[in-house]
Amino acid sequence: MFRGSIIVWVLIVSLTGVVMFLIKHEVQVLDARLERLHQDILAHQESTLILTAEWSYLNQPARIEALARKYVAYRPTETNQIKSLADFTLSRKSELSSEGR
Amino acid sequence: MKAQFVQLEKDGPVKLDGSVNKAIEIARNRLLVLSCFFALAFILAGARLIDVAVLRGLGEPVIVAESVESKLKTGRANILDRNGVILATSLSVASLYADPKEVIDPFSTVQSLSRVLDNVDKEVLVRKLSGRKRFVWIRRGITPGQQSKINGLGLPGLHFQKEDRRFYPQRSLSAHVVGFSGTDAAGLAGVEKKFDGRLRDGSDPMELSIDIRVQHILREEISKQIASFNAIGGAGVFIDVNSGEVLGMVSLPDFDPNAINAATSESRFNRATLGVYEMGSTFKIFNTALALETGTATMLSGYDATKPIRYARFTINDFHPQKRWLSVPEIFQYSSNIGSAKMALDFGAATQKQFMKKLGFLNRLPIELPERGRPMYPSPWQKISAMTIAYGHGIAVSPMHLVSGVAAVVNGGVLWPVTLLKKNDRSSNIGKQILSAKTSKNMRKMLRLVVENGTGRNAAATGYWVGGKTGTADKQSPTGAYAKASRLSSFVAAFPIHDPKYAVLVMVDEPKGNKKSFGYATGGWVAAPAVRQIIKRASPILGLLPIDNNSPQIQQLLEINIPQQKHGNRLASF
Repeated sequence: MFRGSIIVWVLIVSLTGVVMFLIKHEVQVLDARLERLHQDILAHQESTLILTAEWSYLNQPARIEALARKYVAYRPTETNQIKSLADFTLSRKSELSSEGR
Repeated sequence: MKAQFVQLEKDGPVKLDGSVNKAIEIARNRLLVLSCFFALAFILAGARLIDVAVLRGLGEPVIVAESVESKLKTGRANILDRNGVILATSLSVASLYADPKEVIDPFSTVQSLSRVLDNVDKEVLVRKLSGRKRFVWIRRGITPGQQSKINGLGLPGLHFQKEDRRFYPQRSLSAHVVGFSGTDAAGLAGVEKKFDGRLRDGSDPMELSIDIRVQHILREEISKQIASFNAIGGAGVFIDVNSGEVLGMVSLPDFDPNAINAATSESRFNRATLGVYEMGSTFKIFNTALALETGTATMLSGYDATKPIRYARFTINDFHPQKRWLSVPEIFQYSSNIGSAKMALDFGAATQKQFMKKLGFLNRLPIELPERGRPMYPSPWQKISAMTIAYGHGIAVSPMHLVSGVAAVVNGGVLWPVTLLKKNDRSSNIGKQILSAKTSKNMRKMLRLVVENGTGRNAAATGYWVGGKTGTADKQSPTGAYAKASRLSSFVAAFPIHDPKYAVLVMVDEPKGNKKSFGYATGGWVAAPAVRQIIKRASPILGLLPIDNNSPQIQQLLEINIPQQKHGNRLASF
């Protein structure tokens, strides 16, 4: 009886030891991964910063304008090209009334 | 031990037997106390174990708090425009240095480097790399692409160091607003200097009121006029009249803040806020407004402008002489100096000075820039000063002063402190009422008259109901004499004038007349066309819809009665 319980206890202790070792190892691996991820985050943040700065640089209005003139057929909207909905309903009405006459 | 015991029992007296028992008794008691103590300790340890492992386990956070700082630290906070476009940012860049002791062959090293980097002074670099120093800079702030190429060369003795560098992606477009900072990341001009402390320790970006698109339009149109009139410079300001936010502010010539060492002191000078100028006829806006406000003149009264005014050694003449009696709206429309001077005499110098003070024209602007010019005004403020200030001579203010004043005249009479910071809360009531709404309404009508039928016709941007005033001032030479050939031509406008949203000022410094302008270099010929283009191009961007030029409702709002001296004749003009 006494000997049996000793064996059980020894087993439990060694099992705990093994489990603890495994968990500790896992934590170390995760820690290393976490640190690497943090470094990656910093590196990505830095590249993002550089890319947003470049984006702003490439979006200089003067540059966009020059590119648009070169490659796009559209031109800035002239004032007389802008019409409101009210203008259309008005002209439609006058058209209708002239038709009715 | 046992044998001795037995022996003692055998031949020792009873007395001895009792003392042995006593000793055993004591030992037992001590053992009991000790084991009780240990049992207690184990119970405590066990209880604590259960407490930590079982009871506390439920409250344990699932994710361990991160101890590593995962936020990128940069030298200075970003500066953004009102739509979030980056105007200034801090990047960590690599700088290339060498340890000459490790460099094996200086000549071939320099040969390889010159293939990657541009503008390498080979001789100097070879000499540097052959020297005895253990550290020489080769190039500071190289691009990531260059860095990887140099790494690819595999040259010994070359090393990189990370450095923080301020970068201005919009280059000269934001130069005078944002300013620049030095190599040690200290702000040296503009917003960079004004908010140096906040930019240094804050990681929150700073939002300016500037709209980079408006800024671009402003810069491009003024540059065009400077080129075609062969001028020495210019300035332009675009503000929101109902909040004082500056959407655009340019001063030309300007500089690239990324290459500040190449900038001349002339290009670094901010004409929009630091330069103070005698603005000329645009001051008639304030003169007329004050006359209407004090009641010394009305929309129906007028003055005789037949003959020039001679006072002491001065003669006040008209540039567009009508040589007749002119009503107040006509004095404004034809920009009559004679009429304006007479108007000023009626309310007097003291009232004028007080009004100029109210407008903020006697003090530096409250704008968030270190470059703020101190206005110049006469002291004492005499009668002749009052007469010349009526048409904008004898007082010098910055172009930004003028626009903020004009905004107050047209927006219903509220003077907003001009600001370069984006206002997220527009309800804050820091504007000061300096004119009545009625005077403001009459001024809007007259400003429209100038564009519709006066000196500012070139500013008429169809559909946007521009109202404005020309200004052509003769510049004072350093000796104090007014030179006819060097002028300051300007145009200040507000639109849409029946319900003003924005005000624009364009000022061109020393324009020379050209063929297209028939030799004229006045505000109406130089600055007004630029204002028309700016309004035409910026309005769609700002979401302003054009309104039919014949809209009867607006025409009615802007209707003006121009009285004739004898029989009042009703004339509609818009």
